[in-house]
Amino acid sequence: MMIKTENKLKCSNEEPLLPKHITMNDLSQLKSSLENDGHFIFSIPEKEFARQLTLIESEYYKSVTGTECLDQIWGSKRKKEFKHETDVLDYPNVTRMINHTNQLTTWVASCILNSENLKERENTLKYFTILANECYKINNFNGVTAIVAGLSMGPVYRLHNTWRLFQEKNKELNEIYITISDLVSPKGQYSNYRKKLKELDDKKEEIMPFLGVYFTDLTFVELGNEDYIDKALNINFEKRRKVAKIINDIKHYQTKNFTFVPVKPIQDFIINLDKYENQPHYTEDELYDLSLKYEPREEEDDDDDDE
Amino acid sequence: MGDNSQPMRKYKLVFLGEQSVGKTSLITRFMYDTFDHAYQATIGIDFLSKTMYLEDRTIRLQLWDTAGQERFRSLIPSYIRDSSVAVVVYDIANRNSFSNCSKWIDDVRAERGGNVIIVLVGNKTDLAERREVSTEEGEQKAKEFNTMFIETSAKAGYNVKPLFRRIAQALPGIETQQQQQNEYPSQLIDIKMGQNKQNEGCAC
Repeated sequence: MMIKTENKLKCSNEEPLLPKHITMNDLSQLKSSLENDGHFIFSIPEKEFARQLTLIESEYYKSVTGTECLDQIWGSKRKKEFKHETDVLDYPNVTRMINHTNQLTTWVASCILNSENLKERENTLKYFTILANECYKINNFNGVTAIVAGLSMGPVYRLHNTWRLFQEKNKELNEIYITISDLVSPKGQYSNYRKKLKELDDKKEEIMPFLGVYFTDLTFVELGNEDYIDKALNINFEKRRKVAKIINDIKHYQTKNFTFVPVKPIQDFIINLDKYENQPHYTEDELYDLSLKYEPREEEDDDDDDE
Repeated sequence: MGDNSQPMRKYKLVFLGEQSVGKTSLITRFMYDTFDHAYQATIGIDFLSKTMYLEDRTIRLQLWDTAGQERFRSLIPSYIRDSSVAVVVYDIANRNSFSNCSKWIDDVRAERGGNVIIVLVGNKTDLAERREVSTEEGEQKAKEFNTMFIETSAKAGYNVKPLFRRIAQALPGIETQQQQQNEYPSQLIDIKMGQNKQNEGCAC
C-alpha cells in the first residue's frame, strides 16, 4: 500500500486549525482550556498538533551542534582530557531533543492507559494514529518515531481488545498506521526510513529527521574503524571522512524550514508536557500495572512458566 | 526486504546495555575479525547480518544494535520486539553498567516473556586491573535472572566467537516455537500479518 503524498503542504501560512469558538485573536481561552481540562488537548485537530509539534522539534533539532554530536559519541574518550573529575561533557541541545522525544513517547503511552474504559482508550489510540499520520504527511520523522514508539511500548502494544476495536472501526487508518510504523522501524538499520528521507530530500521537501539514527551511525563508524591505519600512527582519514559525512547530513537537514503559524498555547503545552498536572505521567511499571488491570493476560501471551 | 527465497532460518538478536559498554565493539569484532578495518566497506544498511555454519545446520543472525540511541530510552522496546535473543552487555570495569542490567533484562522479559534467550555479557576483561564486577557476581546475576553468562573482551578478541557460537547452539532448541513466534507474534496478530502482506505488495 502506498500513502498519498501529493497533497503535501510545501509551505503553509494558512490559518491554524483550532477547536470551535477559539480564534487566533483570542488565544487566552485556548490557554485556559488546556490548563483546566486534561482532555482538551484531544479537541485540537491532529493536523494542528502535528504542525506545532514540528515547529518545536525543528527548533530543537536546529540548535544541535556538530560538536555536541561528536561528544555524545566520543564522551568516554574525551574524559581523559579533563583535569578535574567534576568536569563533565555537556550537550544541552542534544539532551533537550532527547528528553523531549522520550517525554512525548511516554506521554502517548500514558494517555492510552489513562482510561479504564475500552472505548475511550480506542478513541485516544485513534487520535494518536492520526497524529502520527499528520506528522508523516509533513515529513516530521522525529514526531512519527516518538508516537509510534509510544504506541509500541509493551503496556500499550499488548492491549488486544483496544487494538482489535480500533482495527475493526478504522480499517483504512490502521493500514496507514502499519505502513508508517514500518517506515520508522529500526529493522535493517532503519533502511525504510533512510530510503524515504533521501527520496523526500531529492524532492527538496521540508523534513524533520530523527536524530537517533545519526547517533547510531556515528557510533558504528567510531567503533568499527581504527583511528590509525598502521603502527606508525598514520591517521585513518577514511574514518574522519565518514564522520564528517554524517555531521554534514545532520547539518543539511538543519537548513530546512517549516513555516506554519505558531500557536503559543499549544506549543507551551508540548514544551511543558512533563509539567502539566492535568496530564498523566506514569512510570513504566505503573503503565504495566494499568495495562494488566484493564486487559488481563490472555493465555497466549503468558510467560509459559514452568510448563 | 523479502529475501524469503533463502531457506535459512533467521534469528533476530538485539544488543542492549548502557552507553560505551562495548555492544558495537562485540558486533564489529564478530563481523570483521578477519578483515582489515581500514579497508572495510562503508558500514551501512547491510552491516548487521551474518550467516553461521553449525554442524547440523546453517542459520542467519540479524544483529540489532541500539548503540548511540541508549538515551532515547523510550524507543528501546521497539528494538526488543520480536527478537529471539537479547544480549545484555555490561562493562566489568563499570559497576553502574552492571547494576543497570537488571533493568534491561526486565525490559526484555516484559516484551518477550519466556520466548527469548537472554545472554548476560561482562565485556572488557582486558581491563582486569580496573575490574569492579567479579566473575562470580556476573554468574550470580545470570542465575538469578535465569540467563546465559559469558565474559568477553571485544578489544582483545577474547570469547567473542564462543559467545555467538553458544547463542547459535542455543537457538535450535526453541526453533519450532520460535518459528511460530516470529511469523505470528502472539500479540497483535492482525497488525503483523497485515504488515507482511503489505511489504510484499508494496510498489514503492
